[in-house]
Amino acid sequence: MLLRVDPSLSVSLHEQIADGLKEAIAAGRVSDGERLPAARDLATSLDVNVHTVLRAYADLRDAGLIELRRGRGAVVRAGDLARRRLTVAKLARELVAEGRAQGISDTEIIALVKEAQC
Amino acid sequence: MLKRRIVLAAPGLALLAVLVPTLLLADRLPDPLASHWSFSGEADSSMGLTPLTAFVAVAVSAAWALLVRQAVARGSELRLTVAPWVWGAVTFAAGLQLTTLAANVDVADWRAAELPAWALVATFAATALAAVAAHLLEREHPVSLVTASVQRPTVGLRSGERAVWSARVQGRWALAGAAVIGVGLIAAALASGNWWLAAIGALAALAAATVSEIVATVDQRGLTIAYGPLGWPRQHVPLEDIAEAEQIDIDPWRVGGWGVRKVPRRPGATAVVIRAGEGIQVRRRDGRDLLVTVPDAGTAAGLLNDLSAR
Repeated sequence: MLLRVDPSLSVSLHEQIADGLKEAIAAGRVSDGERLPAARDLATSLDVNVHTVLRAYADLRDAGLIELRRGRGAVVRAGDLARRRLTVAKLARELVAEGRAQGISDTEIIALVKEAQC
Repeated sequence: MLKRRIVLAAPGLALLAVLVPTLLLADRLPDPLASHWSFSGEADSSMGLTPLTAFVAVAVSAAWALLVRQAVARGSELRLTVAPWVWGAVTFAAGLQLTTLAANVDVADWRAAELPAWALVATFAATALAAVAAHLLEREHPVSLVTASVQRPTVGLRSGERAVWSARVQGRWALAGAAVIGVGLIAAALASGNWWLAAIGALAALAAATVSEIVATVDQRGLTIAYGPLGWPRQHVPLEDIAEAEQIDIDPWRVGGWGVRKVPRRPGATAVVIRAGEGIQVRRRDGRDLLVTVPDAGTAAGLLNDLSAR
């Protein structure tokens, strides 16, 4: 699993870490039941504060993708459905970003999605 | 194709070469047979003909199955790297059985059986010759179809960007093997009251458990390998020592087996082999190579290269 963060980007570090992990889970590069690196190890590797990593892990837990347990660390709990949802969620974020870049309002984007459903 | 057929059929012929003389000589053998000799040349242990033959037949068949399995997995193009080992093991097992037959034939009681030294020498010589022959028969096949791997892979790390790659690699059989060895030896120790055996059993189980699983990490500090379920001991190659990393295909039969080992015929090269297949080869600045079986090896090698180029 490759995780990259860039401090010069406007996106916060914990979000970058969470996004990277989500992408790895969606792509199946980490499998269900696999233990993620200890937050302390990941923080040292990426040269960030351990709380930054813990916050990313908490985000993933709230999204129902990992389980956090004392002593066991972070364990991936993402079934097939969660993976597929992640893949589509990533496309949705890209759609919104592209829409904004093209100067299309969010309401219009939603209308476009509804149109596409027909 | 003929050569491949010979490679695959030979263990079967070896089995026949053992079973036919065993059946023919069965009437002229004592029961039980002398099966072990002390250094002074006296028979000191015996075994029935049926268990001995069954043991040898199972050993030869298991080695044969290993060979057939690799042939099925690798197809007709690739080299059967296991062939020299299988031919050697099969010849050795067959040689031991034939030596035992020669020692026991026309002897009334197993205690009187004398070990013919020439037969032992011949067994060792035949084992070596068989291994070489299997190698020569398979030599024309390439070890891997991946000829030119990507030169110096990269993940395109931008300046200022930080990255970490990590992967857990689990061997399918090592932990089970560790449990079997450990429990077996400890049970044997309890039965026989020999505590050295229990200590050896515990150590063997521990050693096998240590290489049953690794977590490999690549980051700004370099490459770190944490062994075993406890993540200890740890092996570290600092980034500044790394000259280059590449993705390779690791065949345990070519690097000397599973576990942590010196690679035969490659001075300074060490291999960490948890399973067969994809892995990274890390070249240190002092020329020593470290080979590690990891998934997604192209990414791991690419990140190491990008980080060490900074």
